[in-house]
This record gives sequence, C-alpha cells and structure tokens, in this order.
Amino acid sequence: MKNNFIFKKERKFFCNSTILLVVLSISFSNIPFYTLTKLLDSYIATNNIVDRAWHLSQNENVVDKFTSYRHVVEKARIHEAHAAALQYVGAAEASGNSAAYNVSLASLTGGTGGAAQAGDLVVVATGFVSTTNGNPGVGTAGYTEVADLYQNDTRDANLSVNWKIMPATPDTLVNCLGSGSATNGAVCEVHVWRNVDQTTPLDVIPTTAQLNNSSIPNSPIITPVTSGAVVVSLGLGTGAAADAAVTAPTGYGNQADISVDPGNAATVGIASKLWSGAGAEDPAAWTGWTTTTSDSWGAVTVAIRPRNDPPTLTISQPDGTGDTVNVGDLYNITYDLSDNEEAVTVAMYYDTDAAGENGTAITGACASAAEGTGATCSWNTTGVTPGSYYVYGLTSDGVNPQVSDYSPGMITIQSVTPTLTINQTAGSKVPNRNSGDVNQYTHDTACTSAATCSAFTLTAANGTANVTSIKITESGSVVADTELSDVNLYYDTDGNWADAGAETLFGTAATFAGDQTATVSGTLPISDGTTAYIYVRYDLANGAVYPVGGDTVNFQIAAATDVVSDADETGSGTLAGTQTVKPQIIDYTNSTEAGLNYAGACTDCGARIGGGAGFRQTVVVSGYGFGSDPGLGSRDTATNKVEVVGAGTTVLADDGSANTNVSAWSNTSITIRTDSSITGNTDTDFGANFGGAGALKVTAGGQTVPTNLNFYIFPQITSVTQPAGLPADSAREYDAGDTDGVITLNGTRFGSSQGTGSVTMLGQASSVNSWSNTAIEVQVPTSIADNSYTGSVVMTQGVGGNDKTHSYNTLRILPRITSLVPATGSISDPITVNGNHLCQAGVASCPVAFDASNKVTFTAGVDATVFTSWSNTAIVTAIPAGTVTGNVTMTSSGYVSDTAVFTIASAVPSDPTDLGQYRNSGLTQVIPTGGAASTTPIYLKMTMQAGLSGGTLYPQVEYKSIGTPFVCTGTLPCASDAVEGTGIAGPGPEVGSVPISPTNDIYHWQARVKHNKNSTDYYSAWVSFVGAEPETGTDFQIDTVAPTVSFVSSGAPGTNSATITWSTALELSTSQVQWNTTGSFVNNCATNNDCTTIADTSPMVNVHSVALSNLSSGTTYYYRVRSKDAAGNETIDTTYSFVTQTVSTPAKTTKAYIGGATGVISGETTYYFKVNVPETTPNVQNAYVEVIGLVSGGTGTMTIAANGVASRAYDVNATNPTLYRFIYPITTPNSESNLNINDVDPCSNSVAPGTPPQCNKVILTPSTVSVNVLSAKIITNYSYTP
Amino acid sequence: MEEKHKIVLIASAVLVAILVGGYLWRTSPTFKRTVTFYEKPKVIQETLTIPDTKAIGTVFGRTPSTEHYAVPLAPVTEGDKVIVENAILTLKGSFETALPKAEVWAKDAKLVLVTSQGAVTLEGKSSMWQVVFGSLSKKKGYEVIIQGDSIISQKELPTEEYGYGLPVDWYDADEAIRSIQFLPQFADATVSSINFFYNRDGKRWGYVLSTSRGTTSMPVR
Repeated sequence: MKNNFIFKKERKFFCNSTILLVVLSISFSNIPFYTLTKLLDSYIATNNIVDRAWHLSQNENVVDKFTSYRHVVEKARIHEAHAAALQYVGAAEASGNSAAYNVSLASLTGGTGGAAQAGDLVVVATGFVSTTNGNPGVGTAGYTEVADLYQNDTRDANLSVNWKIMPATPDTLVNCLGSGSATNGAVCEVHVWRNVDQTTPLDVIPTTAQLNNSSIPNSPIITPVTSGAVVVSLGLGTGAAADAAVTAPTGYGNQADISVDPGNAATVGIASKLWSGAGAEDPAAWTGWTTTTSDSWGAVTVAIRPRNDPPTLTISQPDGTGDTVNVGDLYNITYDLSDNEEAVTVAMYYDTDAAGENGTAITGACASAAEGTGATCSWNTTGVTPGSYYVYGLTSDGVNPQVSDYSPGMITIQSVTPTLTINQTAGSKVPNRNSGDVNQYTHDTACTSAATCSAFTLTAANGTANVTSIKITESGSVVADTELSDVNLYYDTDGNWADAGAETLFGTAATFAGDQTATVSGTLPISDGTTAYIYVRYDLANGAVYPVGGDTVNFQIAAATDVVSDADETGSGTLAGTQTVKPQIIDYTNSTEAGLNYAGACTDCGARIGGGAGFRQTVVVSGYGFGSDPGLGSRDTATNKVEVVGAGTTVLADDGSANTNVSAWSNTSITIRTDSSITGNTDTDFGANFGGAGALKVTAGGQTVPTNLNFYIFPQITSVTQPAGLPADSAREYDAGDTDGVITLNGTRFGSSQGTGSVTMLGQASSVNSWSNTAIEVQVPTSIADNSYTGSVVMTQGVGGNDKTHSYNTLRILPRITSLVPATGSISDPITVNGNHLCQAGVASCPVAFDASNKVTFTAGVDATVFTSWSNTAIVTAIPAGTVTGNVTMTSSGYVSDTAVFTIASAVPSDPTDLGQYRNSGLTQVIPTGGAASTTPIYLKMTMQAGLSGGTLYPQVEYKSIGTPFVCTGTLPCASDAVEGTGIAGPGPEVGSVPISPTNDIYHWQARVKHNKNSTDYYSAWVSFVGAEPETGTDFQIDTVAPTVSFVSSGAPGTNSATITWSTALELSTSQVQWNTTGSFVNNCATNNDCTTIADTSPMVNVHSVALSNLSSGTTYYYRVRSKDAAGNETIDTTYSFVTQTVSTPAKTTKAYIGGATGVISGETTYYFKVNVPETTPNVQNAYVEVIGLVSGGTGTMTIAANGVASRAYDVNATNPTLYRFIYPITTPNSESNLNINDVDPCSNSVAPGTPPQCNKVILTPSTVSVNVLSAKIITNYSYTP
Repeated sequence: MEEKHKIVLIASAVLVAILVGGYLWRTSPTFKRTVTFYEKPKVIQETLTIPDTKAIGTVFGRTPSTEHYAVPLAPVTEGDKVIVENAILTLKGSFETALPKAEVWAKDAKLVLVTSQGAVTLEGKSSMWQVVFGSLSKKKGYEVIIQGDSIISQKELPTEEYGYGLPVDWYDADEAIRSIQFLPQFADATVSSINFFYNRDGKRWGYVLSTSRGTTSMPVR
C-alpha cells in the first residue's frame, strides 16, 4: 500500500512533469503561432482584408521563422497596415412617394456591416417617377450632387446621385426628397464605402446616361485613374409595377436595390466592381427590369478612389539582445518597410534615446534602405563614438506625413584596444654587402613585393597602432657596435620597395650598443588592418672600423617588447636569409712606379696608365674587410689570397719567406709584389698573365671582393742588349749587312708575339726581327732624324697584352758613316765623310775643330788635320799624309762611328772591259766572234776607266793574222803595233773604239787603255778579245771578194717545174734564183718580188740547186742565180732562160641537173638522166651525184644509189626542216655500168639507147624522214685527148 | 774460314759494339746524371793586371770588357758552374771598400764608375775591381783598384767626369745578373764583365754586362 502510495506520487510527479513538458513544448513550438496565425487569417478573411503580401509570405513558410510572440504582434500590425484598400461597409435603402423620407445609416448590410463611420463615403442614388421634370436629391446637408437626370416619357425618370464623407460625427441617416405625388413612387439607395480618399473620393467625373421607352438602366463607360478604384453603377428606372428582382450588370457585386409602386413604380439599384486597374470600364445594363415603352431610365457611373496610405516602417533590430559590436564592425539593422502606393526608402539614424528623432544619420547602405519585410541594411560602425544607441528610421511617400520608427532596443558599440603583430616577410636579405659601404639595405632595392623584399612587418588590428620605437638586434658574427653604424629604418605599407617614393624614414638614425642592439625612435601610426613593412639600412663601417669579409649580418626584432606602441605587441621577426660581408678593394698605389696607381676611369687605359704593376713592383692595396693578417705563409690560401686575373689566374704567392709576394696584410691594406723568384710567380711565370680590367681580386674570410679593380701587368724593358763593342745603351741606325743597328729588348710581358705590338725609338717605328714575351729584336729605324741623338725606346705589348707600353731611357744613336766622297783619292785631296748622327754632343754642338774626342781617323791611326766643316751628316776634311787604303772612322764626343773603306787612288787605268768588234762606226753591226766583214774599216770597241779623274783615256788595239803572235805586252808604249783610237776625257767609264782596215785574212786582236794624265801615259794591261787561244782562234775575217759562179743550168724543165743548179766552187755561199717570164730584172728582190728565198745560209754550199714550181706549161721563163759569201759579198750571174713542157691531155668538169628530181618524196624514188660530153674520148676521172633537199621528220636515213654503184645511206637528224646536201660518189665512173656517157650501149637500165628512160638512174630512198628534193646534179670530171 | 780471320771478325764485332754502346751511354740521361754527380765547378785562376788608365772619358764606363773569362749565366750542371778564386767582393762591396779612401782623397768625391777587372761570378763578385771617383773641386779623378778585398792601387787621373749621386738602396751586381739570367734568351749565354756607370743621356745609373749575346745594359732601380 505504502509502495503504491510511493509509486502513485512518483507517477503523479512524472505525469505532471510530462504535462509541463508538453505545455512548454507546445508553448515554445510553432503550434501556438500556427494557431494564432490561423485565427488572424480568419479575421482577415472575415474583414475582407486585401493582403496579398501576407498570403505570399505564408506560402513561403514565413511563419516558421517566427521566434517569439513579438513577431506575432508584428504580423498583426502588418495585416492592419495592409487593410487600407476600399472597404464596402454596406448598403441601406428606403422608398416613399410624395414627401421626403429617410434612409438609416445605422445598420448597413451587405458589407462589413455596422453604422457608417467618420471618413466613410456615403453614395446616395435617389429619384422618383413623375410626369414632369422633378427635383430629386438629398435633403441632408453636406452632400454633393454629381448627377441630376430627367428622362421624359409616359413615366418620367428622375435620378439624383450624391456623395458625402462622413464627418467626425457621422450621419445616422440620409434624407431623400419625394416625388411630390402620392402616386409616383420615390426610391433611395445608399452605398457606404470605407478607406476612401478623403480629399478626392471620386476618382474621375462621373458619367451619366438616360433613355426613354425602357426602364432598364445602363450605366455609361468610365475610365478610373487610380489603382484600387471601385466602379459603381447606379441606375433608376420607371415601371408600371415594382420590380423586385432586378440584377446588377454582369461582374458587379455589392448589389443593393429598392422598388416601390404607389401607382407609378420607380426602382433604383447600386452595384460595384473593383476596377481592373487599366482601361475603361463599361458596365452592362441591369437586368430583371420590367419594361414598357412608357418607361424611361437614368443611370450614372462613378469611380471611388481608395485612400492613399502612408508607408509603414518597423525597426526590429537592434532590440537590445546580443546587439553589442566593436567600433568598426558591421551591424545589420533589421526593418520592415512597405508602402501600398509608392516606392519608398528609409534613412537610418542612431540616437541615444528613443525619442525626438534627433540622432545621427547612418551613412552607407542604411542611408537609403529599400522596402522589404525583415530586410536588413549593413551599418559600418567605423567612427562611431562608442556607446549605446537606438536606431530609428525615417521614411516618407511624399504624400503622407513622414513616418518614423525606433528600434525596440539599443545597440552597444564598444571601443577596442588595437594589436600590433610583429613578423617578417618571406623575402630574403641580399646575400652580400660590402665592407665599408654605407647606406646599405638589407633587402634588394629592386624588390617589388613582400615575397621578395626582406623586411619586418608590423600589422595593426582593432584600431590604429602608433609605434614610437623599434629595437633592432644584430645576431650575426659581425661586431655591430664597433663595425656597423647609422641604422635607419624605412617603412611602407605595400611591401614594395621598388615603387618610387612610397617609403618613409622612421625616426632618426641609431647606433648599435654593446648588446648589439640599436633602437630607432620615431612616430609610425599603423591603421587598423594595415601592415607596415620595416626596412633596415645601415653602414658597414663605424668610423675607421670595418666589418671583416666573411662576417654575417642578421637583424632581428627579438621580442615583442622591442617594438613600443600604444597597441598590444605580439610576435617577433628575423629577416630571412643570410647576409655575408664581402671585402672590398677601393684603391691601390704602386710604390715603385706612382704612375701605375689605380685608375678607375682612364681614357682608353692605354699606354702606361690604367693602374697595375710592372717588373718587380710593389703595390699597396687598400680597402675594407680584408680581416686580420692570416700570417706569413698563409696569405695565399683559398680563404685569404690576392689574385691577378687575366688570360690566366695568378695567385700572388706567399712562401713564408722574406721574399714573399704578399708582404703585409691588415683589415684595410695588403702589400703585394708582382714578380719574384717564387715558383709560379717568377718573372717569366707571371709574364703570361697580363692582368687587365677587373683583374685584381682579393679573397678574405672566404669571400671575394664584389668588384675587382683594373690591374694591368705592364711590360718592362729590363735591359737592352746591343752588339758587343758598342757602349751601353747605344746603337746605330740599321744598315743591312751590319749588326750595329740591331738591338734586343730584354724584359717581361711583351706579348707572345708581335701582333699589334710595336717598338719605337726616338719616336720612330722600328722594324721587328723577332718577338717573344721576354725578348724583342728590333732594328734601329733609319728614319730617326740625323740631328736626334738620344731618346726613349718605347714598346707596346703584342699578342696577349693590353697595349700597354714601357719606355726605356735612354738610347743613344751612335754616328754611322754612310759614305766617303770620294772613296778613293790622293793625299791632300779633299774628302767628305757622309753619315748620320755625327754630332754626338748635339745638333748645336757640332765640333768646330778636331780634338781627341772629335776627329776623323784614317787607317794606321792617321787623324785628319784639315778641318773644313762638321755637321750632323757630313764632315769635310782632307786626306792626311800617311794615309793608306783601309778603314776610316770618326769620333764625336768620344763616341766612335763604324768604319768605311777608303782607297788611295792611282793614275793607272783599269783594264779595258766589254770588248767588241763591229762593221760600222755606230757600233751596231756586230761581227760575231769568227765572223767576217766584207768591207773595211771595221771598229774594235772597249770600255775605259781610270782611278783618277782628269786626263785622257785612249783605246789601243793590236791585231794579227792567225798564226802571228801579238807583239805588244806589258805597259810599254808598243808604238809599232798598237793602233790607238780617239782619246776621251777621264776618268770614265767611257766607251772607246779603234777603226782598222786589214786586208783579206783571218785575225785575232787584243786591247788596252792608255791614260794620259798630266802628260804622262799610264797603261792598263793588254786584254785579248777572246781569252782562250788568243793567237790561234779567229776573232774576225776580212773578205772583200764575191764568190765565182759557174755551171749554171735549168736541167730538163717539166710542164710546171724546173730546177736551177750552179756552182761556186771556190767559196761557200748562199743560193738564190731570181726569175720571171720577161727577162727583165732589178737587183732588189723586193721591187718585183721575183726572188726565191735565200737558201743555204748555214752552212753555205759550193754546189747550189734551187727548184722552181707552179710554172705554166709551154712557157719561156728567164732567170739568174745569186750567191753571197760569209762576208756578204754577192755575185749576181747573167740571165738565162728555159721553156716548160706542153701538157697533152686536158681535163674538164661538167655539171648537169637531173631532170624531174624535185618535190617531196617519202619512199624510194628513181630519176633517170643522161650524161653527154662533146669529146670523143673522154676518160672520166670521177663523178658525183649531188642532191639538195629539205629534210624533216626527225631521225632517219637517206639512201642514194646510182646505176650499178652500191647504195649509200646518209644519217639525217631533222626534227625541224633542215637543208641537207648529199654528195654521192660514183665509184669506178669510167665503166658504163656505173656511169653511162652519151647514152651509148649497153644501157645500164637494160633498154635500148635512145629509148626512154635514159641510161643513167639515181634512186633516192628516205627512211622514216621525208625529203623535199630541191635539186639533183650529176657532176663529172673527165680528161680527153685534144 | 781460317782461324785468323775468325779472330779478326770477332774483334771487329766487339769493337763496333763497344763504340755503339759508348755512344748511347754518352748521350743518355744516366750518363749526364752520373757525370753531373761527379762534376765539380770550374775553378778559375786569373792573371790579373792593374789597368793602365790614362784618363776617364765620358764614354769610358759604358763599354764593358770582353776579355775576361766567360761565366755561364744559367749553369745546368755542376760542371757548368764557375768559381773565381779570390772573388770576394761584389761590385757594391768594392765601392764601399773604396769609398773611404776616395773621401780621404777628396771630400766631395763621388762615384764615376766601377768596372770588373776579372771574371764575374753569378753572385756579382770579381777578384779585381776598378772604382773611379771624381772630384769637382779637384777637377780630377781618383782610381782605386781592389784585388780580393784589398786595395792595391790608388791614383789620380784626368777625367771628364766628376761623379754623380747614387740612388738609394741601389741594387748590387748579383741582382743585375739575376734580372737577365732567367730570361730564355740568356739561357745559354755567358757573362764576362760588369760595369756600373752613369748614363748621362738618361741621367741615371746603370749596369752594363758583357755577355755572349752582346752588351747588355739596364737601369739601376
């Protein structure tokens, strides 16, 4: 029992709880809203509320979105707002006759019902039937009559239509006027409408119509103008009896009518229809009316204008719940806005209270928000002073007064504390910066975005952050506080450094402290949502202290507290990448040759400028970041070294000795030497490297300098070698065959070969004999001015070099003797020593007298004593006594010239040369050795010359017959045998000749020259004309006798030839015959051209024979023989004659055309012909058939055959018509079978002679081709006996 | 074949083999190494003569003597090297030895020239040096002859030169020799004398060496 009690209690609790849960569930579910909505809908439907919007929303399940009862209220308000369309309240009517009567407005029926209210439109249609034009109308005050119709008939219709807006105290009745006759019925019908435009209740002027003979009213057409207007048809008709069942026009409702019949009946009706909204409305006629022709009717159509509603506005959010935002947030204001007639917008404001509409306008979308239900507009609260605000809206349709609404609750806009986030970009630092450089950025100044620009980032949120200082920490290996300085921070907001002008300097420059930090103070406001990019610029120097090559630089914002601002800072930043310090060369000086100091921008950098080093020169390289001294012996490692980069790369060696090529090293200076005896760096080893632009390179701390400096390895003439015996640094102008003018330049870096290299001496270009990198052999130019004595040797590098030069000082040009004039002379004769550079003391200091240092010395040490003159190019003196033939030198200022040979002269002439023998004095007709002369004198010639000038040269000859020895020998006069020619003034060379007239014989001869000088004869030696066997060999022959001719004969002449023979038995001679048919001769063969060619000229003959040919037969010819001996003596014999033999068998040639042989043939064609000759004994020697034809048709043959002769085929090739001439020989023509003469028997064609066809025939057979035969001939050659 | 002929034939073959082998041995690197190993530098003993200088002209020092022993500039083997007995002083050393004497002779004594009077070693030493000074005040020259490291002769001379100032730290004769001995063109050359002279044309001091390639002069740096 107890248990039951307990369970009962628990069951009750459970049941109650369940009920409670059900109630709560129902309460907070959609069920109440559906239920309530249902009730509202029912109400709306009952009250004829036109609300499409609502139904549409319902269809879209708007109800499901309701979350509170408040929304239900809103829904109700919405429906009320939307119930502003014309509302039919109801109708009332009454009837009478004579007197006025009332229609009550207290209980209207047919519409919403009830009494007429203030603002309702009361339309009254009243009238009566009569027999006269009465005065229907409304007796109640305030009505406006819009129509008063009268239609005459038996029963006259009188209709009056009136309207009135009910005042604040609405009428309770309408007083309608009577007909004035108790038998004439009067009727009055009232329509009451609500929501009618209070100012212009009738939309347009009513229209009227009336007609007799009918009682059925038909309202006229009307065209309303306002949407929502209602067209009302009002009509009155008469009748004999009352009509109780009239019907309104089709489509019209709200019908109300009344009929009365006190004798004459009257019926009135009113019905309405909602205008379609467009076009005219023409109500049809009423129906159900009993009509006769005694009746009449009147009708009116009116249009009622609906009331214009003000817009409706409800601000639903903010409602104070969950409506808290931060300044700058976006907030959606929720509202409902509608207007039945106009498109309207609402302007939102925020206000500290919910009254007065005196707030601040909201800009943006909420300044002009569109209509909508549950619509929102976004409010950007930026700039709004933090606080709590109501929101209200103002809207107006331009017709009604402005409408406003406040939000049900407040929005709270609160301020926020900005944050500042510290970070870095993804861009990496520039890998290297150069020690000593200032104003260096950590980033690449060409970067264009945060992805490539290395920078810290400061990003503000929740408002503007104002940064006042930033502390940068350097965490690389560089010692920032002593080696870096001048930290500047720049910022921009796009992370793009390269866009010009956007970056701003933050604060002022700072320096690093001992903790390796630098704090930059300034002002940097960073607005909400903005990122400031912070760039670092700094100097890689701090006074005279510079970071070391290989050190790293790494900047950080190590902690959030390192950025000071009014915001909450978070994060830190470390710039990406590694930035390493590079050493840098800025200059160098050449301690050995200051002219070779570094020159960064020399014009052409040619000659001996441009910076660098020559032979074994010391250079001090200055710069930054070389680091501390690696130590002697370690200054040429991969980490720390100095290089010269050129055609090759030379690392300046540090062998650890005092002779090292890198003798000093500090952070800012390195001392190097270009050459030494260190292997790889010796003069010649190094000489292959010529350096050049950007050749000097330093590596320190494993980092190479960013820019090598120009460093040229200059050539150097370290020494000059000249021929032994010459003083140092001297040479003579070059003279082929002599070595004094060739010197060798020894040195380094001349270039591997000459190429464009050159050498000049004293400004003149020198010819190069050979060229290597260490030696140039050159000739001293001969173009050096004779008055130039000392100057420089300048060489310009050849192949491999950089056109660099070196000048060697100073070369002296020694005197050179070029000639002695005369080179031969006698003691005391004047002599000129010609040469160059003869005044070694200088052009203005040529000696004026001989002395120990300035003299001319002849062989055997004999110095000239006669001083005449001395110039740069000539010394005039006299040959001193004691001079012998030998070398001459001159000395100028102690410098000795080369030598020239001088010969002491003699009067004895030279032996004669160029001996010759001639037939004429002009010495043009040579007598060859052993030759003969037919006349005397002959002339013996020689060339004469004496060693001394003056005197006369005489040619002398001695000639003797062969076998007779010469008599003259030695230098004796030999007056008996020597024949002397005409003398010629000496000293020669001169050509002399001696005429001699020896008798006929064979001779040899010799010659010599006699020089008569100062009345003394000096003789040369005798010279034989022919050196070998002078006394047995024939030099010339004298022969003045012509050959004797005998035994002249013409022999037995032939018919056209003859042979002439004769003899010159005593003397060899030539052979020639002069002949003609007249017998008249002249000696000159050329006159009549009647001589044979001279024959037997070599060898000559004693027996002569000359053949004559081409003679005429039976003709007498005259001739004479001519023979000429070796000396030219000619015998022309007497004239003889002979007669040629007569010819006995003459020959003839006949030609005759073959008749009919013309025209085109394409196959075998035969032509017959006859050959006649007049002679009786013809002997045919040969015969031919000649065919001329035009061949065409391409390639083929033409075959010809004649009589018994074998045929012959001729190849022809005639693509185009071609003229051919065929010659067909008739073999063995003297036989009748081959050629029949005179058509005699036997006939070759086997017919009787004289009977056609004729005895000869020729057959032409073309093959393939066709032939147009133009002609055919038979040609016959024959002889005969006359 | 007779026994006598066989002996002759065998002897001839052996002789030919010896000759061919000897030639190959003589021309082989092994021979050269062996010879080099046993080679010793040549020791030169000179007959030195004090020069009979009458006067000093302007060109006097510019022409080096070619009469002394020719020492190879770039000896290849030990046998190529030359040792000159009593070559103790370098050219500069001889000057420094003679200078005090000259300054005693004339306070304004300045060097005119130095010439080697014997063979010159590659170290720039010679057994005899002629050092000539000049004095503008005396209008005279002063010749000092040094043999070994001792002065053996001093005398005044007529002169056209009165001496010139010397460059600071002028390099010695050994450096002058080294500056050419590594050049290819002097690889097989010899040097027989060296002079130190003043080039009035170039207004500088210079060395001039008599080499087998000719007279080679160089400025003193």
